[in-house]
Parts: sequence; structure tokens; C-alpha cells
Amino acid sequence: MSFQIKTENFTGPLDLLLQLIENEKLDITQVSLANVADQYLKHVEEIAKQDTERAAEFLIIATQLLLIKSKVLLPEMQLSEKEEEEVIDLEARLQEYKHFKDIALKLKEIASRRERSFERQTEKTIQQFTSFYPPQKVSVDQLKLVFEEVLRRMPKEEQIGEELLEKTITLEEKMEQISRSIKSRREIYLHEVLEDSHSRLELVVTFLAILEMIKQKIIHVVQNQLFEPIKILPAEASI
Amino acid sequence: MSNSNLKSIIESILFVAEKPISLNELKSITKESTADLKTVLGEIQNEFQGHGFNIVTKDNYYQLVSNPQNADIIAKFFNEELRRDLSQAALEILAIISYKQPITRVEIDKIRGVHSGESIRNLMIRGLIEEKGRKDSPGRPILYGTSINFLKHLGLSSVEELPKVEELENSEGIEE
Repeated sequence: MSFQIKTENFTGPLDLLLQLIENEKLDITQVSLANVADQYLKHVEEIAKQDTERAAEFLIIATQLLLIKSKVLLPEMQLSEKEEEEVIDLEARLQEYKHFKDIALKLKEIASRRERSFERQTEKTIQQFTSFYPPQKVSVDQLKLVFEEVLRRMPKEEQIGEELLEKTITLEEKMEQISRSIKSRREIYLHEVLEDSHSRLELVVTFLAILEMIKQKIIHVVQNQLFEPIKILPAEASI
Repeated sequence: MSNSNLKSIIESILFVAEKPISLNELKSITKESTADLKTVLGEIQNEFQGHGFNIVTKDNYYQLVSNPQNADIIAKFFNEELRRDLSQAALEILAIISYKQPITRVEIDKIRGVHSGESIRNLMIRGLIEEKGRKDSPGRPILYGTSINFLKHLGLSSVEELPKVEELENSEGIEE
């Protein structure tokens, strides 16, 4: 049931998310958000191919969606207070955004009626449509001042601070790493692999890598007795 | 002065004024109370029903304008094209500002989930929104609100005529 949403058809990440949910005829709930997370990510990938700067705007919400999806898949998972807030926040934000989108639609209807009000035009104003008639005594200095005032009043682009992001490890890279470890040592222990991780994110990625490798039958995992260390073996070594 | 006298005076003032007149200006000229002035202005507007005039108001400014239903003919009269449609982004931002004014750019960004700076500049240039002072918080960011021109553009008399949204009051706001 894949369908194309063109990037021009949504104004931003919340709009995309809203359209995905409405397309599935769902309400805005954590479950439906988890549901459309994969589709959202696919779209972000597409956008990234064309315009990386625009794609960056979609990333924060992408991570929030993944958080929600994890929570829905693992209900016993404990989220930190901050994470819980983020989850509730996204639902609320999407509701509020939907609200304003509806209002925008109503404004569009009103605008399309083209019922505009005109104020009384004096002769001066009519001429302004076609040519520039400055007041009689205006000087170059005055024009300069006025122009500077206009520039000053225009909202300025804000400089967004730059930050270096830490390099993170991808699933593929982790799978490579584990593969190499297995090849050189024939068997390794799960806790050894996990101990290598430098961050919680890396722990999660490692765990996912192992699950994926089991699924792809690259490795085999053994535990002889309850609570014994878990061993990881290359798949062909399994009996 | 008598009610009909006051009415007549206000009608004339609105007619000759070239731009929106503030309630304070009317007060200093007529020496009448705010309440009386507002009552008379309301009466004048009611009497305009079915006629070629309307009174548009924003932030206690008032302006005499044409009946919005006659827009097409008037545009022809001026040989003017009725403005192009507003973009989806512009409509979203106008929707947000109309209901939440005064509001800062950052607050608008948060609601939309995208940077709105460029669209906001466009709307300022088109005169549909304007600066309404600064917020009393760190950075003293600029506050935006819709202009009286925004109402004229849509043919509305005041922000009260914007579509009603009951649920808006119940929804949770975004915390800074």
C-alpha cells in the first residue's frame, strides 16, 4: 500500500506526519505514530537525496517517532522522564498543528471568495500604483534614512549555533565488527561484545546487530544452562 | 452632543481619513467616551448592511472601506489584479498568528515544526502581519500580529469574524 507523497505537498515534518496518519485513517495516538514511523523514515530518506538541509528539519521528529515505536513494541520499556515528556509532546504538537492546518483551510476558503475591502483611494494613492512620487522636499539623505529604517525592521535571519555531533555507529558497521571478531576468535561471549560499547546508543545498536545476525543466520547463539554466559558462534559451527 | 450628531461626525471623519483612525484620535476630536464611541461605531456598521460600505477594525483602529462583496467590480475599476493566492505555508502562519497574537517567530516555528522566517518576512512585506512590540523575555524577541490589511484582504470586519474554533481553548499549548 505504498503511495507517493511529493515533497512539495507538505510544509514540514509535522505536515508529513499528519498526512501519513490521516492517509491510514488513524487518530493521533502513540500507536498510530508508531505505525507510520517507517513510512516517515522512508520519506525523509527521499528528501535527503534531494535536499539535505531540508531533511535536517525532519530528523528530530524522526528520532521521537523511533522512541514512540520502541515504546509501543516494548511496553515494559522504561523511558526517562524527559523521554516520556517528548512522547506526550509529539502527540500534543501534532494535534495543535492539525488544528491550525484546519484553520488555514478555512482561511483559504475565505480568501478564495475574493471578497476584499478597499479603502478610499485619494489621487496620490492611485498614482502610487504606477510610479514613485516622493514628497516635495525629500532629499537623498532622507531616502537613505528611510531605507535603513525599513531594513532594520525586516526580521533578521538568526544564526543557528553550530555543534559538532559525535560520530555514532551504524547497524551495518556494528554487524561488520562482530563478524570480524567471530572470524578471528571463533567464539565470543555476549557480555564481551556488549562491554565494548561506549554509549547507551551503541549498546542498543550492538544488541540489534546481534539479533539481525541471528535472523540472517550469520551467527548462532548458545546458552548451556540458565544464567550461564551466552556464547556467540558462527552459524556453520552449530549442530 | 446628540447621538445622531455624533454618528454623523464619525461618518465624516472616517470618510475623509486616508488611513485607519484610532479610538484615541476620535476621543480627542469628539470629546466623547470610549463606550459611546464604540456604541455609535457599532450602529454605523449595522446601518451599512446592504450598502456599499463597511467598517473594519483592529486594535482599536477603525477604517471606512468598501463592501467586500463588490471586490471584483472595484478591482476592475482600478484596473488592478486581485492578489495571487497565498501559499499553504503563508496560510498556516496567518492561521497561527491570527489566533495566538501576539506571538514570536520561535513560537510559530515550534507549532509548525519548521523554520518560518522567510514566510514571515514575505507576509510582513505584503503588509498582512506587523510587529507588535517585543516579548519581555530573554533576547526580547519580536512579537507579531495580523494587520488591519489582513482583514481587508479577506473582506472581514474584525478578528471576531475569523472562523470559530472551540477546541483551540482546550488544547495544550507548547511550553517554551
